[in-house]
Amino acid sequence: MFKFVHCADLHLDSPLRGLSLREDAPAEAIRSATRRALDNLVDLCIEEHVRFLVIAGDVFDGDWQDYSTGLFFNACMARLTARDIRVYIVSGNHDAASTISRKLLLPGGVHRFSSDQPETFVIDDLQVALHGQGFKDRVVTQNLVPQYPLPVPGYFNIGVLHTSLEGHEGHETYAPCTVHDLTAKGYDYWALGHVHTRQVIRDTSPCIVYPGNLQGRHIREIGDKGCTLVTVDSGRIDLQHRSLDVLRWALCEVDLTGTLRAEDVVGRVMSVFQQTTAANPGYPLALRIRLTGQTALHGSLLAESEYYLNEIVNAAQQSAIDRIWVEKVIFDTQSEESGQSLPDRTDAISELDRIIQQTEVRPEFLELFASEMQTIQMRMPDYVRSEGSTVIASAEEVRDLVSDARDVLVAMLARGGGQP
Amino acid sequence: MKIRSIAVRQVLHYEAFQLDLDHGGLHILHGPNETGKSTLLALIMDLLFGGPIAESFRDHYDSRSRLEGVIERSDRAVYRIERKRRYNRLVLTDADHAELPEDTLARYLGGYTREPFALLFGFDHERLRAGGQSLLDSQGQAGISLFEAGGGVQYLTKLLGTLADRSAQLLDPSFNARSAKELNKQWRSFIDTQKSLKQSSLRAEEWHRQRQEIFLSEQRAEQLEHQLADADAAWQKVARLLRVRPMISEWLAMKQELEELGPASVSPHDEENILTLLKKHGENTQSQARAEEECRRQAQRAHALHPDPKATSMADSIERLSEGLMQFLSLRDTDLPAAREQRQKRKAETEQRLQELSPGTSWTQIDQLRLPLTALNRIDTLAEEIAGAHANYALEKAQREELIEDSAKVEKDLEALGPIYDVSHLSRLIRTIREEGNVQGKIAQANRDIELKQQAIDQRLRQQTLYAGSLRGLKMLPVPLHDTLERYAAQWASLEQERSDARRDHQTLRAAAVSLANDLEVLELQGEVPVPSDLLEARSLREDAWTRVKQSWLHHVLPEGVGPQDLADDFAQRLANADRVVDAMRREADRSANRALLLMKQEQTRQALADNAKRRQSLDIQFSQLETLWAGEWQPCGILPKSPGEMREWLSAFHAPLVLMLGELDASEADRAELVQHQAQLRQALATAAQEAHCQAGDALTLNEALEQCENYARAMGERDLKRRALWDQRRVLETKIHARTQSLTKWEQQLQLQGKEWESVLRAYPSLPPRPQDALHYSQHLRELLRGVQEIEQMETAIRTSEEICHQFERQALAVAEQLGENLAEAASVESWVRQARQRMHNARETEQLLHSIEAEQARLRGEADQHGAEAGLTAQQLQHYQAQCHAADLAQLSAQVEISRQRRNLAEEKLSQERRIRQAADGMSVDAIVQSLEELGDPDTLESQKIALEAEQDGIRGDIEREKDHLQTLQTAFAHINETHEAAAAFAQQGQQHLAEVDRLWNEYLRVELARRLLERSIEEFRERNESAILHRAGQLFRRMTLRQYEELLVEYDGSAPYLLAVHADGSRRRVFQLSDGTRDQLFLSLRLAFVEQHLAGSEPLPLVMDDILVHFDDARTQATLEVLHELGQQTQILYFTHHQSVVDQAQQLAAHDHLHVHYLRPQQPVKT
Repeated sequence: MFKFVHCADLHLDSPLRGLSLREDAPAEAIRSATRRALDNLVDLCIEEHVRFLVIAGDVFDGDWQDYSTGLFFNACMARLTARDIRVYIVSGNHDAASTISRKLLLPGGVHRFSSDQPETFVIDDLQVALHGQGFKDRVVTQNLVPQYPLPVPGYFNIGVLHTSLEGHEGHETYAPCTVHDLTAKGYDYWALGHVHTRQVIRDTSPCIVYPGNLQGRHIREIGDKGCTLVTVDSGRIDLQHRSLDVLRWALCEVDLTGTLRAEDVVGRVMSVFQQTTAANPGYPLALRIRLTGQTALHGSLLAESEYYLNEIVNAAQQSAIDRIWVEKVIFDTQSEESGQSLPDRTDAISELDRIIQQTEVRPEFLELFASEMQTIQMRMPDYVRSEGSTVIASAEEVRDLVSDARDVLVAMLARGGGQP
Repeated sequence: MKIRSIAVRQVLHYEAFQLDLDHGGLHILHGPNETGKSTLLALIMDLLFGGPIAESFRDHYDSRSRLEGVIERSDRAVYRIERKRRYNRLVLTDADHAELPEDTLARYLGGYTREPFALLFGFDHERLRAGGQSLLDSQGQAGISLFEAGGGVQYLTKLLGTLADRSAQLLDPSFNARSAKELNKQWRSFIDTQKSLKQSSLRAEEWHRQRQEIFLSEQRAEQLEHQLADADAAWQKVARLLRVRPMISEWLAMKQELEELGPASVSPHDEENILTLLKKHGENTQSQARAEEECRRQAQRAHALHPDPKATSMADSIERLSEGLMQFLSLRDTDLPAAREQRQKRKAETEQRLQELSPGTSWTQIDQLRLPLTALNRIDTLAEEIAGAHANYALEKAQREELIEDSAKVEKDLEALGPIYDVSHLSRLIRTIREEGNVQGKIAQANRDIELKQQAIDQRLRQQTLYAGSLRGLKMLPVPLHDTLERYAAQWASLEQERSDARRDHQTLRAAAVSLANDLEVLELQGEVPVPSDLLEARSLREDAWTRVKQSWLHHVLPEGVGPQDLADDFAQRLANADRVVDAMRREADRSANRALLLMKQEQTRQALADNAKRRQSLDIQFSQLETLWAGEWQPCGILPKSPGEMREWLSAFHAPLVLMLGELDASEADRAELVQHQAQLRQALATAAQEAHCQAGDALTLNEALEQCENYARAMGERDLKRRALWDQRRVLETKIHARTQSLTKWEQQLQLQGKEWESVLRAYPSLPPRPQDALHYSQHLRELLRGVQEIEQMETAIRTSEEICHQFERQALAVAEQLGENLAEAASVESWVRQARQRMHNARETEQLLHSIEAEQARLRGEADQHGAEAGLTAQQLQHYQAQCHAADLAQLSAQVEISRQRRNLAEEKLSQERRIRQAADGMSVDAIVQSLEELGDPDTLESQKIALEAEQDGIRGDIEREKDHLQTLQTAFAHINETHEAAAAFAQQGQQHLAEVDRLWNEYLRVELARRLLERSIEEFRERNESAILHRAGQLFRRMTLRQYEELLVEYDGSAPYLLAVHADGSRRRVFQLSDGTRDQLFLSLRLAFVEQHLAGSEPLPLVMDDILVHFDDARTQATLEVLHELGQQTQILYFTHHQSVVDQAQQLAAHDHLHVHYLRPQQPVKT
C-alpha cells in the first residue's frame, strides 16, 4: 500500500481578483493565499506519509515575473524531499510561458517531465511508473496521449497530463484528447491538470481526475479547493479530496420576493450568510451577493444601492466578524408593479420612460456615449484587458446599461425628485 | 373615475365611518384639528391602492378593520372596493372576503399605482411650497420646470446636480495626473502598485547572475588560499633555519667539550651514594655537638629557680576569692550605697504623695486608700469621657459662633454687592455685534477704500485730456457702442492704410519718374538715339514730300513758290532723312529700344502719378468725411475724438476702468452707507439693550466705545452676578453648617447630663474620690503612683539585705584562706589588696613549677639526640671507607673531587641531548642531522634573512588579495542571501493592485450608470419641454392670470443664451423671471403648471380624482377665492377632494358665483376604537 497526492494549477502568487479595499475584509487571509495553500499541501503530504507528489501543471502564472515565487516553491519542495517524498511535475501552458519555470533550478528529488517527448520515471521500490510530457510552448494543440509510452508491466502506471480533454467552459483548449484515448492507454491513473474545478472523470481503473486548483482566486473559482489524496492498495484505488484553500469564494443568491423594508433585505441576506458560513466552518469567505425576486423595494434598491451595499456589508460583519468579504452585490430584482407605463399616460415620468425606451433604439445617442466612454477607456488599458471588466466597445454595450440607468432614474423620481 | 362613497370600519378611531361623495365636482371636506382629516386622507389612498401598510399605520389596522368604497368610471362602470388587512398588507377582497388580484382595479385607476398617483393627483401645501422653491432653484429653467410640474416631482435641479456631482466626483475623463477624483485616484494607485510590483520583482536572470558571480569569487578565493599555503611553507622553512641556526652552533660546541672530558670513572649510582654519604656524615657530626652543648645550658637554668608549694596547693581557693572580689567590691562600694539612697528618696516621694493625696494619713494607713482596679479604670474612663465631652462641646460652640460670624459677613457682602440687572440680552447683542466684526472699523476701512478709490479715479482722470466733464457724467457718457467703434476703427484703419499706400505709391512713382528721366538723360548724353516715333515722323515727312511730288507729277500741281526741283530735293532729303533714321535705328537698335521703353515707362509713370494724385485727393475727402462723422459720434459726449484706435485705447485705458472704478466707488459708498446705517441700527439696539440693563452708555460714544463700555458693564454685572451666586452658595453652606453645629451642641449637652448622673453614682460608691471628675482623674493617677511607690520601696529593702549578706560571706572566706597561707589578714591594707597579693603569689608559684618541668624534659631529649647522631656518624664513616678504597682516593676530599668531575661530564651529555630536543622542536620535528645538512646545502646562511623578508612580502600580498576577495564574496553573498529569500513583496503589490482594480471596476460601473442616467434625464427633460411647452404654457398662463387676479398676463419662454427660461409677463408689461416673483406667486405659478398638466391628462385619459390637502393656506383671500373658482371649474371635469380645517375656505367657496358643483362635508371628531 502506498499513498500519493495529485494536485494541479497552483498558480503561485496569483492575486485574488475582484476584492475591493474594505475595512471588513479578512485581509490576512488573502495575503499570499496561494502560498499558504501550497504550505497546506506540503503539510498534508508529510502528515499522510505519502511517497510522492504529482503536480499536473501550471505551478506559476505565465506572466508572473518575480523569481522569489520560484524560490518559495523550491523551499516547499525541499521540505518534501527532506522527508524522502519525491515530486513529479509536468509543465502546463502557464509554465511554458513562465520565465520562472524555465529558469528555476529544482532541488534534488523533484523531477520535471521532458517537454520534447514523453518521459517515464520509475519508482522501483513501489513498482510505480509515471509517464508524462510537459508543454514546450504556451499553446499545444496536438493530442499528446498517443505518444505516451506503453504501461510498464506489473507496475502501477500513472499518466500525468495537462489537458482540457475535449474542452471545458472557461478554459482554453490545450492538448486535447478524449477519455477513450486515456482509457485505451492501459494506465491505472491519469493525473490531469488545467481545469480548475475538481472533477473525477472516472473513479475506477483507470481513474481520471482533475483535482482542481489549490486556492480559488476569483468569483468563478468558487467552493472547496484542494488536492486528491490517492491510496493504492493491492490494485485498489481510493480517492479522497482534501481541502487546502485558505479563503473560499461563494456566490449567494438572495431572493427578496415580498420584502417590504430594508430590514427584511438585511434579514434575508444574514440568513444566507449564516447558511454559507455554516457550510464553510472556519473559512474566511469572499461572497458575491445577487439579489433577486419581485419586491416593492426594487426602486429603492437601485436608487440607494450604496445604502444597501453598506447594510449588507454590515450584516456580513454581524454574521461573522472578519470572516466575510462582500466582493460585489448585484441588484437583479424586479418591481412588483406592472403596467407602470401605459401608452395613454402623459405625465413626465411616463414620458421619461418612453423617451428612454426610444433612446434604446436611437443609435446616435448610444453611439455618442459609447464613443466618449471608449476615449476614457483608452486611458485604462490594463483595466480593459482585465477579466470581467465592463468594456464599452459599441452602442450595444450602452444599450445594456440603459435599463439600469432608467430604473435608477424612475426610482429617484418616484420618490418625488431629488430631495428624499 | 370618481369616488362615490367611502366607508371605514374599525380603523384607529373610526369605528364606523361613512362618507358619500356621490357626485363629481369640488368636494370640500372641512374638519377642525383632531377630526381625523389626515387619517381619512391616508385611508382614501389605502382604499384605492392597498398594498403594504405604512409603518405609522401598522397598529391602526386589525383583523376587523375594513375599508370599503364605491368608485365609478367615466363610462359609468361601478366597482365596489373592499379591503382588509392580511399580514402587513391591505388586500383587495370580494364580497365573500376572498382575496382578489390588484389588477382588478387597474382599469379604474388608469393603471396608476400609489406613488405615481400621489405625485400626479395629490396636492398639499408642503409640496406646493416645495414646487415653488424648486422653480426658484432651477431659476425657472423651462425644461426642468415643466418636467417637475408634469411629473409632480420637485428638486429636479438638485437631482441633476446630484448626478452631475457624483459623476464629477467619480471621474476626471482627462486623467489629470493630480486629479483627486475617486476613480482617477484608484487608477493611479493601481499604476503605482504595478510599478512597485515591477520594482520589487526579482528577475530570474538577476538571481542566476548573482549566483554565478559568487561561484567565480569562491573559485578565486580558493586559488589564492593555495598560493598562500605555498608561500607559507617556503617561509616556514627559511624561518626554521634562521631559528635553529644558533642552537646548532651551541650543540656543536657541547659535542666537542664532551669529547674532551673523556670517559666516566664513577657510575652515576655510586656517585649519588658517595655524595649522599659525605653529606650525611658531616651533618651527624655537627648535630651531636650542638645537642650536648644545649643540654648543659638547660641544667644551668633549672638551678636558678625557687618553687612555692603552699601557694600552689591553695590555688583553687585563691582563684575563687579572686573571682568573687569584683562582685564584693561592686556591692560594697557602689550598689549598696546607691540602693540605700534610692530607697530613701523613693520613700520620701511616696510619703509626700500620700500627704498630698490624703493629708494626715500615716504610712501604715495607706492600705485604706486602695480601690478596686476595675473601679479605678471606670473612674478614669468616665472622667476622660466627661472631659472630652466638655472639650467637644466647647469646640462645637466656638465653631458655631465662627460660622455665625461668617454668615453675617456674607450677608454684609451681599448687601454691599448692590443691584444686579439681567444683561443676557445685552450680552447676546454684544456677542452678535462682535461676531459681525468691527463695523466701525469696517466703516473706517470703507472710508479709506473710498478715499483711495477716489484718488485713483482722480489720478486716472488726470492722465487723460480728452474728457473734462464731471465724474458722474463720465459714468453716463454716451460713448459709441462697441460695434460702432469697431466699424469706425475698421474704416479708419482702412482709409489710413489706403492713404498711406497712396502716399507710398506717390513717392515710389516720383522716384521712378526721376529715375527714368535720369536714364533718358544718360541715353541722350551718349548720342541721339531715334525711337519709332522719330521713324514714324521721318516717314510721315517722306510721305508728305512724296504726296506733293505725286501731285506735281501726276496732277501737275505745285505749291506756290516751290519748283519741281525743290520738291525733288525736299523729297530726296526727307527720304534720306528717313533712311538715316532707319539706319540709326538699325545701328542703335538696343539703345533705341531702351530709350523707347524708357519713354514709354516715363509716360506710364506720369499717368500713374496723375492717377495717384486723384486717388489721394479722393482719399483725403473720404477721410475728412469719416473724421466729421466720427466727431459726430462723440459730439453728445462733448469730446473731440482722436482716431477710433486711440479712442478705443482711451476707452479701455481710461473710460472703462474709470467707469468700473466709479462703479466700485459707488458700490463701496453703498456698502459704507449700509454699514453706517447698520452701525446706527446696532448703536440704537445697543442703547436700548443697555438701557434695559440699566447701563449708562453715553449717547455721544461711538459704537465701539459704547460696545466696550457695555461689555465692561456686562462683564462687571456678570462678575457681580457670579459673585452673588457664590455668596448665595456660601450662605447656603454656612447655614447648613450652623444647623449641623447646633444639632451637635445639643447632642453633647445630652451626653454631659448622662455622664454627670453616672459620676454621682460613682461618688456615692467611693466617697474618698474628689467630687469633680477632672479632679478624680488626677486623684486616680496619684493613687496609682502612690501604691506603685510603696511596692517599689519594699522591693528595694529586700535587695539591700541580700547584698549585705553576700559581702559578709566574702570577708569570712578571705580570712580563712589567709590563715591557711600563714598570713595575717589584719595586717593587710584591705581585704581586696590582700586578695590581689595572694593571687599574685599563687601565679608566681605555678609558673616556677611549670618551668622546672619543661627544663627537665628538654634535657632528656637533648641527651637522646646527641647519642643518636653519634651512632649514625660512625655508620657513614664505615661506608665511605669502602668507596674510598674502590676509587683509590687517599681521603674523603679526593673522593669528593673525583665525584664532581664525573657529575660534570654527565650533565654535559644531558645538556647536549636537551639541545637536540630543543632543536627538533624548533625545527618542527626535523632531525639535527637533517638541519645540519640543510644548512650545509644552503651554502651562505647569511641570505636567509633577506629570503624571509621577500617571502613575507609575498605572503602579505596574497593575504590582501584573499581579504579583498573574501569581502567581495561576503558582499555578494549578503546581496544574494537577500534576494534568495522567499519574499512576498511582489505578491503583496500584485494583490494590492487587484484591489485597486476592483475599486476601479466598481467606480467605473457606477460612473457609467450615473453619467448615463444624467444624460438620459437631461435628454428626457428637453424632449418633454419641446413636446409640451406651447400648449401647457398657454393654459398655465391663463390659470396663472386668474389666480394672480390678472396681475400677470401670461407665461412665456425666453432664451438666455441657449437655455430657455420661464417668464411671467406682468400687467405693466414687464417680464419677470421666477426669482423676481414673490414666494406666494411662485407657488401659484407651480400650481398653474400642475393644473395645466392635469387638464392635459383629463383630455386624453380616464379622469382621476384630485386629492388636495389645504393647499391654499398661504394664499391671500382674493387669490384663494380666484383659485377656488379655478378648482370649481376643474371639478366639472374631474372630482376634487379638498381637505381643509379653515372655515374661511368653506365660506369663500360658498361665495362662488355659481357653486352648483360644490359640495361641502363637515367632518366630526371620531371616538377612538383603540387606544
